[in-house]
Amino acid sequence: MPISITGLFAPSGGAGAFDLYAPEDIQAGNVNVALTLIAGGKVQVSGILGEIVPQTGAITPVHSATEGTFYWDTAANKLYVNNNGTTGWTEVMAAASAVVGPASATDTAICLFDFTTGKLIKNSLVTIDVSGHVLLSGAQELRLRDANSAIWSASTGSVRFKATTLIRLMSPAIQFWNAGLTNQIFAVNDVASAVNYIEIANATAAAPVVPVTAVGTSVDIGINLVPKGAGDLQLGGSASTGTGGIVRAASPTLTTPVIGDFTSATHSHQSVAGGGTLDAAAIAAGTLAVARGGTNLGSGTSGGVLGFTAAGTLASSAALTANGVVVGGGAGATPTSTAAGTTGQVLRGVTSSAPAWGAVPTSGSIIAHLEAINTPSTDYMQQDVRLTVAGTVDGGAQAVPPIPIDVFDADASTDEFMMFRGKLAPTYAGGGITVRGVVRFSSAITGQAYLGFALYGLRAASIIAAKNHTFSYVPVTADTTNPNAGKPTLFTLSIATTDGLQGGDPVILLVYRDANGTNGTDDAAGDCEIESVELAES
Amino acid sequence: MPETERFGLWARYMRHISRLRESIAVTKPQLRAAFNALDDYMEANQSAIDAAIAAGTLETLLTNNAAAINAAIPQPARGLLGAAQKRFLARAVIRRYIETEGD
Repeated sequence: MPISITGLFAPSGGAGAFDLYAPEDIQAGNVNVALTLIAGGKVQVSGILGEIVPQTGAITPVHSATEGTFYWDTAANKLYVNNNGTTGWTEVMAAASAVVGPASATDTAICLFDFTTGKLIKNSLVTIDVSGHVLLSGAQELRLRDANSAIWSASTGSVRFKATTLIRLMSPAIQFWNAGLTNQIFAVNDVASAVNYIEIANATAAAPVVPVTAVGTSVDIGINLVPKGAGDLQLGGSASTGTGGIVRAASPTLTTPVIGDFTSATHSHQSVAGGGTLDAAAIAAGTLAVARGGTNLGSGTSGGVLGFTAAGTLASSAALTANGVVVGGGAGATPTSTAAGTTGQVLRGVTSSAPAWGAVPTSGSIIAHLEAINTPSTDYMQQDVRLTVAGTVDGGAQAVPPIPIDVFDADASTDEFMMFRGKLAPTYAGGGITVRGVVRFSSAITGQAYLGFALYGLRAASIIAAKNHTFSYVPVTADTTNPNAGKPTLFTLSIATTDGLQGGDPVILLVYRDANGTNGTDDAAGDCEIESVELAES
Repeated sequence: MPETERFGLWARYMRHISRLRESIAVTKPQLRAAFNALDDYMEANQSAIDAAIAAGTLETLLTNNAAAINAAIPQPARGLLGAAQKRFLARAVIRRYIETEGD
């Protein structure tokens, strides 16, 4: 049967409490208990078997008396927590502000909001351990602003910085140390009175080995490589040499460098003992200029010689004749060579042509001894016999005995001729002939005689095969230094045109004094004595 | 004298001194000018010369007029020729003048 208890249970100064028992026969049924509590009061039920169904707004059921436990008030849609282990229940939050997480999460992971409701959270890959270390376990990037500015690790022990535009470290000093912080490997330090200060140290030295220092207050920053103490500037382990500035790659200026041995793939310049070679591949194109020892030639003629054909041009001559003699080619031409001579020959000059080999040297030698032909003419020179002046030759006091000689007097007022004959020496090989002789003026000690010469060549059967019938003239001047007439005077006259005279040819030399001055001045008063005439090769 | 005579006298004189190997310090034109001047002088004084020849006083005439005869020789022959040479030239001209007077 139902039991109904109506009363006021409100003990003064504390919560009301009473025991309510139901008959055993209704243990299996419901016990309806209506409790009216003051505001804030709670109903604590113990020994309940079964379920207590609270009426809406009527009671706050108690699920556990253990402090720290939660219960959900399904009627109020609120979450409560026991805060004192007995009756202290505190509302945690209402259902409207509840945030729901995943079924499980990574320990110490930072939770992430899921979607935009603010009520859903989810797990993340970023953890913060109890020491406060934030960990991106994989290659996730720590992005600053966007993906163009990020820090990440590709593998254990590595850190990568990505800045597609600029990395600017705003620090007075930047230092790189080894893992043990015992050796400073690279540092940019803020040093007093320095614009910048960069140090590069090796792994063991405490002090910088190679400081790279930009010093001074000028707007220009000079980078000075300053060895430590008496140390040396080393590049690649080799000590530097010389003085002055560092040689740069483009257009360096080297002052009196001393080049030892160097070798490249295409050329080598070695010591004198080793001999130098220059590979053709070392010259990209063209040829070495004449200056600086080049030849300006790509090749030369075998057997030829180098010759300058211009002030700065070298050229190869044609192959020179074996055993020939080099003959100059004159300006603009390379040398040539003569033919090879034969035994006993000598080389003789030829007018306006290369020298030629001949049997014997004849240049300047007498090629004809002439003898006079007394021409039956009124105008031939008078042959006379003279005695040389004794004891007063050249005004001296020499005791020279008189010697009778034949002379031919050429008159001073009338042209007179004389013919001499002779035979050219067999060695004569052509070319110019010089007429030379001795004259004496019988009286004149001033003025000159004008002598003309014509050479006629004869050959077999007295037929004139070659001749020079054009007179050549030579003025013979009286000796004005001697007050006494009669001093011998030498004369020479070159006859270039010889019309093919050959060695062995009989010749006739026609000599005359142009006394009337038809062809030139002849003003010496008195006879001109022709004492000797001979022919020689020019 | 005609020109041919003057030329002959001049040519013979040069041959003469050549045979003697006598030095002469004038040139052929200068020597010829001396001969011409002396001949001109003789012709200009023909009357006096003729009178002296007739009187046999030619030597005296030449001696007395030596300075004038010398002055008749143009320079540079007057200075370059020796006194004997100038005397020989004058006598040669007079001699030729005498030889040809009767022609």
